Amino acid sequence: MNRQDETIFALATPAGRAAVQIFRVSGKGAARALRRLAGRLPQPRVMTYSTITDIDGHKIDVGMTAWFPSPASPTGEDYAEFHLHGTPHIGRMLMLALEQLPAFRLADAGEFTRRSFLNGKMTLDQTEALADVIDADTEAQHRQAMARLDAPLSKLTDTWRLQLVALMARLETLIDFADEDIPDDLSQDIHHRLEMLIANIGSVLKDADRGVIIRDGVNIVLIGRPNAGKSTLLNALAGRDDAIVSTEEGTTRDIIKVSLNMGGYAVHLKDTAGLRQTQSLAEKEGIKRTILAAADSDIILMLIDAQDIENNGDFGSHWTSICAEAGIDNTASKPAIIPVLTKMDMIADLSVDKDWLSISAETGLGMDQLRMVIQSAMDQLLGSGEAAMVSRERHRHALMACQNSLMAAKDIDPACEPELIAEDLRHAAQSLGRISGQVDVEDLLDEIFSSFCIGK
Amino acid sequence: MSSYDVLVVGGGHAGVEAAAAAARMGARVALLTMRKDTIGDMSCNPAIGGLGKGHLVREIDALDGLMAKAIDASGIQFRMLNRSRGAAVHGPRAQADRALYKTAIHQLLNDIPNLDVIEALIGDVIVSDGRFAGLISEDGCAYHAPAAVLTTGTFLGGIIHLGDERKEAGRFGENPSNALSRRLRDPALNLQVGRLKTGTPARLDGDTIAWDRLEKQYADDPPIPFSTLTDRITVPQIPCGITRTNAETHRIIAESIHLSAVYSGQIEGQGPRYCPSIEDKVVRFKERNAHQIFLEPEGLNDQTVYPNGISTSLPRHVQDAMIATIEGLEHARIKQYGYAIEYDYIDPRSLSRALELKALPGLYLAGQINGTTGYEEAGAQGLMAGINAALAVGGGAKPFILDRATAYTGVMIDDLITRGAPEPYRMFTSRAEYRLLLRADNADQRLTDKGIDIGVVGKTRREAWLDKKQILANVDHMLDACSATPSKLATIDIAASRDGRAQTARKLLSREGINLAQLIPLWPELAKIPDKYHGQIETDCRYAAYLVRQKSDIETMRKDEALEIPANLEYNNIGGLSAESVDILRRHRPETIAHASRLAGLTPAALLVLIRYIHRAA
Repeated sequence: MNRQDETIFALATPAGRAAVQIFRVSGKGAARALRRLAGRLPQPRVMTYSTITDIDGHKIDVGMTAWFPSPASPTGEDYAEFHLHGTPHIGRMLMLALEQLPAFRLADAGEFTRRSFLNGKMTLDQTEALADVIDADTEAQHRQAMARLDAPLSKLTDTWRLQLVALMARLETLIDFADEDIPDDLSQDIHHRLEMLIANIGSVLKDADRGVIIRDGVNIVLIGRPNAGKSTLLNALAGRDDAIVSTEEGTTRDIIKVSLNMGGYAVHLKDTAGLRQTQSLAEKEGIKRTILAAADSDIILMLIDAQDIENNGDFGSHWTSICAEAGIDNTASKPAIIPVLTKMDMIADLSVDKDWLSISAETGLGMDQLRMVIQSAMDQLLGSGEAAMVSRERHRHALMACQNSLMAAKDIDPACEPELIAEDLRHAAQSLGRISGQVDVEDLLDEIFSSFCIGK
Repeated sequence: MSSYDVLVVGGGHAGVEAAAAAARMGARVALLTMRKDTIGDMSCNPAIGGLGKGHLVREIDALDGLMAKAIDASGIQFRMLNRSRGAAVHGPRAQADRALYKTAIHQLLNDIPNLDVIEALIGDVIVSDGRFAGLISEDGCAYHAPAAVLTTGTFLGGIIHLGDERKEAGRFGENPSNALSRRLRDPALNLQVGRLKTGTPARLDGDTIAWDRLEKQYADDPPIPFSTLTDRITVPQIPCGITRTNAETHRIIAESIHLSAVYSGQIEGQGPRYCPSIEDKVVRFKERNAHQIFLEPEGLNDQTVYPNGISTSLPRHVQDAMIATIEGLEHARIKQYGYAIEYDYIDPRSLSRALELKALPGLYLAGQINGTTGYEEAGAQGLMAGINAALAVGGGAKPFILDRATAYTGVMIDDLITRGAPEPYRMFTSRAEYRLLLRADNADQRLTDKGIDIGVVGKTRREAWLDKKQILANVDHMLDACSATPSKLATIDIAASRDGRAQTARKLLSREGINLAQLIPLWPELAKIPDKYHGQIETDCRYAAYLVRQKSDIETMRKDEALEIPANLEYNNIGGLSAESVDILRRHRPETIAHASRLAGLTPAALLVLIRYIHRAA
């Protein structure tokens, strides 16, 4: 039998002890499962008190059942839910019972969602947004994903497609009805519409960077001289001992990453190898990675040991040389660089510049202030207002490709080579179609469903 | 009783191409028509070509068909539409001298040895073992053959409407084919028969038109022929006149709109939106206060004038009044009134890619019977149906199929069998997604070798093409071999980048505004390239970057085209297909995944399920 025709089931709540556990069943056999294991088919979409038994009629538990006949169900197929008491033993008994029904099997990862997609219950874009809602660990991620589930990007792209279609239609008129009575200003109209569309897509694309960062997390990289206190600060911020902390210089040779929630944003804190001239091959490799991590960062915490300043009071030269060695362009707007003086507990007195944050991760001095500074840097980077429409790299790529085709089209004179504009517009439409999953379905689905882990 | 390999019913543009193609391939062919003398008639406007349509004519020519040669021998006003634009959207068009055109077609047919033209009105189809086996005329004469091409045009159940007059006819003054219409509706044949309509304007007496007051449109000089075998056009070129309707014309039409056959509800068939009657134009575009009319002479020695742009089914007296309001036509005499005609067509979704009825192997359909309009669309289908009928007779040969990346003909057939013809189907360049590749100027490069392979191309064309192919191959080599530094380019006033890098001729030609002739002072060997190929070579270079991008699209398409769906597939047994998808698939029975992917209403998800299923089954 075809796997598509089999009835699938899975535990929908986390495994382990809980007040309630919920099992979902989808497929042609859902009604049979209810009749056999709950004694009857409840009224559709009404939670119904039921005694749950195995297929021989031995009682497993008392709980609630729900019945959603196709097509008005989460998957579009016949669909049932069993709400039981949350103990692993009861769960196992029900799974055993379900497994004995003909053509029943445990669902694959993401299979419930896949079926809802295949049955037209969700667009590809919504499917992805749902995955993001479920995977959201922070408030910002959740807000963004929920916004997209409600107002999926595909709604916006559908509007654009309509605009594009209107535009293409005018262009084709210009081409195919050249020998007829067509308005003289059609070329200008085409140009105007093209500019409007470019502006519309451009305004959303501008936001796209922000969306991708919220979804994938803010990269904050700690850099500095060896033994500047990077690992200590990382541990203090993360509140755990992820990085090995020792006072020996050059301990951190690899990038150590800690992911955490800071003020509602997903953040990846990265500890790096200290920057210095060295002969050690391993350390050189570590420094190379530091440079790469700095290039890929959204925010850099540049740590300078207060003792170094005490010994050699020139802030400027420390700052400049570290930037140079880490390959950071300190005049660029991104990444944001936050200079931090560390180990303030180790020095007696230092008249520091007010712009420099001074902390001691050991004593907790200045840590609250540092957190606030990081928070405001993230707010500035990501904005705290509307959720960004574009939060997946794939969407951003498609939109960029679309935008590039439109820009190329804009440079061509509709009066001379309308056929080349048409060609660019066709490509723009194709790129746009990738977002709501209307083109290249095969490739996309493979990628999406293989990285998808929900429903089980 | 007579026995042939291929029978062709109808002597219009589809019929003559079908008969000639099958005969060129060596089949014994009988062309069955009601009247020999109407073979090659132009029932509607006296013109061939246009945008998209001109491409089809060049493709017919590339496969050694008749239409291009006939129009070259009869065209009285050649014009290249979109001339100022890129080559991909150039549309060759010519107005014809009706009489000369018909003479040319008759001559071309006469030159074919194994082709009989027989006067017969076909009324019945012989079916044996579920296959086509022959035809029977209304007077009882049987013609046996393993294959036939039906090209019934507007004759199948034809009804003419003129105001409230209603007359059974195939064309004005010609009988319709009613027995065959009834036969094809026989439920046992399981064909979806529908009705379409089209219209034609009144014909005017040219001697009664005030030409001197009218704007003129002249032919191109020199006229560019359709056929690659025509060196130059020798028929004299004459202008046509341009005039316009006005507020008074529109008032008369609006007042009498209820008398129009279309608006009185007398006509059930769907007409083409892109070819509206003057009634439609006035009703739908109220804001327009004038509509253009081209006054096209029907011949050098024929005073009949075809007023292109005002087809109508209004009653005679309204047509008289309406025409008299138009500038230059105040005293024009109507020689024949305009009318609308309704006719049967068979839903082309019942056809295979070879234009063969899936339900009745051996019977091929071409032209208006498949829901198309236009001589060119008909001719191209006739050619393909004729070729495939002849191939099938040979037995075992694979059908001759042109895909969407090879020819407009392929685009058209794919559109028809995939989407049907909810309105009369006409070719446009925008229907071709690979438009930059499918140009009117490279039809021979795309098709003639294929035609030679299946034997539809005669000796003269074969030799001419092989010569040209050799020249183009040399040019291809030269374009890369010729290269010059910026300083050398400066000597012929071509600006180049200052990086000092040499540029090839190919690269230079890809730039806007640089042509081959400009480069000859630098590379004298380029002078050997015949002038007539310059445009084509320049275009290839100019489009090169776009063509590279199209190539990957085409590969994807061809991959899907190669994924065949078994003809007897039980869609019910495929899990994961919605009832709606199953319904669509069952109705269309797509032959390939590419075909399925273009079916309206079939979701990408359903397509995915189908692809998976076929991969597994394979």
